[in-house]
Amino acid sequence: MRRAQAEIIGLVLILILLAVGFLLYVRFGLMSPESTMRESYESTQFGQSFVDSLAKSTLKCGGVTYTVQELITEIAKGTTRCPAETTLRQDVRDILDATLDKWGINYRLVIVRRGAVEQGIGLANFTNPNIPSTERCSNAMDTISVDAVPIAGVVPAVEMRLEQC
Amino acid sequence: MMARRAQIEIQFHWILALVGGILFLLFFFILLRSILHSGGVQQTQQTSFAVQSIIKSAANNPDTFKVADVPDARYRFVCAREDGQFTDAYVQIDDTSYGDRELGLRYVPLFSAPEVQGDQLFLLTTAWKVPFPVTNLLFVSNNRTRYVLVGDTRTLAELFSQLHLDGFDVDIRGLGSLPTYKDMGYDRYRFVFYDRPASIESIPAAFHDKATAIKVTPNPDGEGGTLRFYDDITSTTHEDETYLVDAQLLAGVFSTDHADYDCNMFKAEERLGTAVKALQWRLQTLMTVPDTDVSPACEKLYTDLGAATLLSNYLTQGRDARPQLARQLDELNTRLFSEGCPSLA
Amino acid sequence: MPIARIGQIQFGETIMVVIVLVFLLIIGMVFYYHANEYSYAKTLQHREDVDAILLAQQALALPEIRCGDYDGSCVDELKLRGLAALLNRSDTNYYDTRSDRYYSDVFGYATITFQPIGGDAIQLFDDPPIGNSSAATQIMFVNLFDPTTGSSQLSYLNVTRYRPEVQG
Repeated sequence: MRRAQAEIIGLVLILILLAVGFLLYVRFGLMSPESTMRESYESTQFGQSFVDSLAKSTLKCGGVTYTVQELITEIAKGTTRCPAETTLRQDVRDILDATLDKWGINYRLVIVRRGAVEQGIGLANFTNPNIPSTERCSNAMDTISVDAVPIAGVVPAVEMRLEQC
Repeated sequence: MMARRAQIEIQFHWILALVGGILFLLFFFILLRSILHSGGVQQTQQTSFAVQSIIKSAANNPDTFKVADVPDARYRFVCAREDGQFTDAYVQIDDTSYGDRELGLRYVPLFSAPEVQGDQLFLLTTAWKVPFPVTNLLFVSNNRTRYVLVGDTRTLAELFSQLHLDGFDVDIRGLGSLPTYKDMGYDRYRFVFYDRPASIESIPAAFHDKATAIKVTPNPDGEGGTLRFYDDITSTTHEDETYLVDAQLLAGVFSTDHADYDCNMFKAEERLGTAVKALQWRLQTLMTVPDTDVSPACEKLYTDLGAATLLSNYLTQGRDARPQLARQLDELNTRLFSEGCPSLA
Repeated sequence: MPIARIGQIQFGETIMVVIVLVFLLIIGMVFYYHANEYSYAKTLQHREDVDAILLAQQALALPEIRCGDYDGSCVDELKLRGLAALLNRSDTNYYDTRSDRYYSDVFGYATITFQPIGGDAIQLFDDPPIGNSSAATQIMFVNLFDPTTGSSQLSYLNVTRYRPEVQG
């Protein structure tokens, strides 16, 4: 009789656990919001807006006004008539100092020719100098977002890419 | 005696077990009911939040079309005004109404069928320009509303492409085919007579309860025209409005009726005043602040061409004067551009 | 053992089972309540974040300040300053009450600022609530176009959306 009573208690315990489990399922499983409704309105566009706006911003080189995109094209084609690399590097560095560096974002900004193997165009990659060098964003690290803008008018294609790690 | 006591005890146990079991089940029943109820309330809140986000996001991106998946429900977008004041501006999802503030749609000019039912919303956004951009107009429909364009089929095919209607359910018909047009089971039909006499009486009787009509008469120069609203297709009573740009033409096509068009265009025009005042500040800065790079020649040009007066006219003259003002502004900007001066808007 | 004694023991066991039952139920209810509260707080936070994103998109999409060519990421600096002047309550020359009321309804409780890189900030709108509130911030980049020089300066839009805390 003891064993039978023990079995009954065991059965009741199982029933209770099943009931609690079922309640939790009803609450979190059936009533959870549809994740498919999370679409474009949730995109923060932080990274993409940065590269898009950077590409369209203007700077002066040799007294002539260029957009960053145009200057990169000149550099990639080798047709610059002013100290383009220095000007661009300084301008982009100033922008990064005032924004991503100041906010402590771990990023890597690269301007490269796309292809089977990426090639630089004479501009070093930009990373956050406020972050220890061993922790800075690199090829070897996982990225949380990658945003790029193509630079028109160059073959093979060049892109400016922001990777956030 | 002992046996009797034992029997009573056994019965007592059974009664106890029964009562305990009933209480136990009752508790779970009540708990489940409250979970389902609060889940229903949460679901409604999430639905309204999702709809708000989708609509606001669509309204922020002009010249876009998107298909949004929404919870299967009945959506009504209401805009009504009386004596120049808004009396109603809300969204109803199934039987729950959301005031204009909760869904933030009081300031979004939204043109749609009276009721949109289903699990998808088609959203088209177009910038309203006069000719400078004032606000974005949002057009909402779904796959249960059909737009029937009636007129010269070649012209209508061009119009279809020009207005970016390819995402919507649109049928193009010649005038002669209208009397035999069949009801395909849509919730609502909107007949659009383009550049042809509106033969309201040729619309078959099957559509009387579920259709409205509008006649579009473009101006000979192709700039703007007139919209004639037939809110009741069993009679020839109508209301007329002029339109300046394609965005207003679309507004006429997508609106429920004339009152809906008028109410939502009023929302759009509320922005016009502020847009013009900001442009007036801009012009004054261009003309008077000494350290701008605007040349004295440009400053003189602004004065000679009457730029300030033109902007003021937008605030003082009515809707009907706008086509002419738009033409004048276009000419002025063309002249400024040719002289290398910043445009007026 | 006498039958009555057995019966009493059994009765006692039944009572123990019921007590254990109730105890487990109470634990379950407490756990459920806390889980629900946490989930609701997360939902509210998520909504505030989405609200801030939508507000940032709305500010960037304002037709009153966009460049003449209606480029998505370009704001005309003079139009922006013009609108800011209309909404600046401390600017006695240009402040327009009607416009302020209108945009207060459009934006709600928010602060919207454009910050040119290397330049002074342009505050378009500032209306935080009185009392305690939670806030969510979004940053988006944009080009600020100067129509007098034709230059396009990289800037960022800083938007803070406030949600007043309900008292009582």
